[in-house]
Amino acid sequence: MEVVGLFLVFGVVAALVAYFGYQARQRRIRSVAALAQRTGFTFTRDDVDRIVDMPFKLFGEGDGRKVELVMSGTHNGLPMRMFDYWYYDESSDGRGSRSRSYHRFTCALVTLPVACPPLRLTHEDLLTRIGSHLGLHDVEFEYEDFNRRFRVKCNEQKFAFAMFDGQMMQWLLDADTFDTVEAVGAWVLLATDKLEPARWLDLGAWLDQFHARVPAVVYTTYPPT
Amino acid sequence: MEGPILVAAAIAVFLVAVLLLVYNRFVRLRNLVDESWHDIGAELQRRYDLIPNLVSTVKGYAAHEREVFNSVTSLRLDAMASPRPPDAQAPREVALGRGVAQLLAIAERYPELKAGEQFLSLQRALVDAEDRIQVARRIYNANVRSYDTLVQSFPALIMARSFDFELRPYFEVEAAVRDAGPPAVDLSR
Repeated sequence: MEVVGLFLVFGVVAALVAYFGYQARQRRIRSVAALAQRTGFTFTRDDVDRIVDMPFKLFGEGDGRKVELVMSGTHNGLPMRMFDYWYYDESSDGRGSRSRSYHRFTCALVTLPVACPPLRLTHEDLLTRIGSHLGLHDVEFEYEDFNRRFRVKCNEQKFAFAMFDGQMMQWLLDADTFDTVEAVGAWVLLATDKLEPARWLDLGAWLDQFHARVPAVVYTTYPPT
Repeated sequence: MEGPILVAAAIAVFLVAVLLLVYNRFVRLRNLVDESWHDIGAELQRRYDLIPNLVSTVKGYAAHEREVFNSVTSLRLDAMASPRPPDAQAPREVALGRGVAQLLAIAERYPELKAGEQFLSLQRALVDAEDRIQVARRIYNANVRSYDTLVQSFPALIMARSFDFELRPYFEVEAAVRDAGPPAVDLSR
């Protein structure tokens, strides 16, 4: 009898969690749709343009991933998209029981008239610092504060130096609210921890400022092909 | 008896491996420094190639500024003369950059010249050439910094002295043309 009671309690709790989760998701969908309408963007619940297939490193992480709640349009004259993205890592405890840990982001994607070689800007952490000491170097700039805080991976050193001039490095140190910035081809992706829809436009504003600081030499040295 | 010999052999192998790694790192960094210095050379050449055009364009409107034209021409020839080490080349490039900026300042006094398509395109090309020089300079200096740090670090400095890995100088030039005022062209949209 006690076991049945326990199952019942477990079932009710699971149903409540599922219900509140569903309600929260519906609220988020409605909020993003309303934001899109207010700002003149178009809204799709699913990733109809297969953004998730774009060649960003972030979109290759984990064992499964999805882009959803996509807002597409123009922000201050720039073609831009904002969306939720998550991926999960699957692990097994060795007794056949599997679990997933989810990583959730809100992203903004802007198109610029350039042809960027792949570049990734993330934060330094203990592991990356140890890696640097073992010879796994990222691109090192002349600005020590920047090197200490950020890790830049780019096979083309020249592009990294063209993109991150003194003004851009100082601005990134001051506007360090992101998780990852990636550039590849004509696209620049900004990813932060999952944000409430009310704050999505902050990503657009951040990318506007980033765009304003892209040095002219980037456009002349890496023109669109 | 075999034990100590094996330990000594293992230590010797380890030491040789470390020496080889450090030596290869020296070579790799020195090559990087050399390559990045060659890249600066290519970007400097781009600027040298633009200057005669600029001189003749401005001359068409301000022939009486002969002194400035002659000065820029000889600064260019001096900068282009036989290869020099970076610290000897830098002051020549600084002087040339200032000369070019002076030429552009002269052009400011002639609205017709300033508005001409040929001049505008030259001005854009010069600013771009200078930006590229700055990118190449920063890469070179970053590579020099890594290399020089290794040359001065202990115990690598023992090897540096034994194999003549010498300190390399930095290359410092200012962005005189851009500082004089970049052309008002938005390339980003």
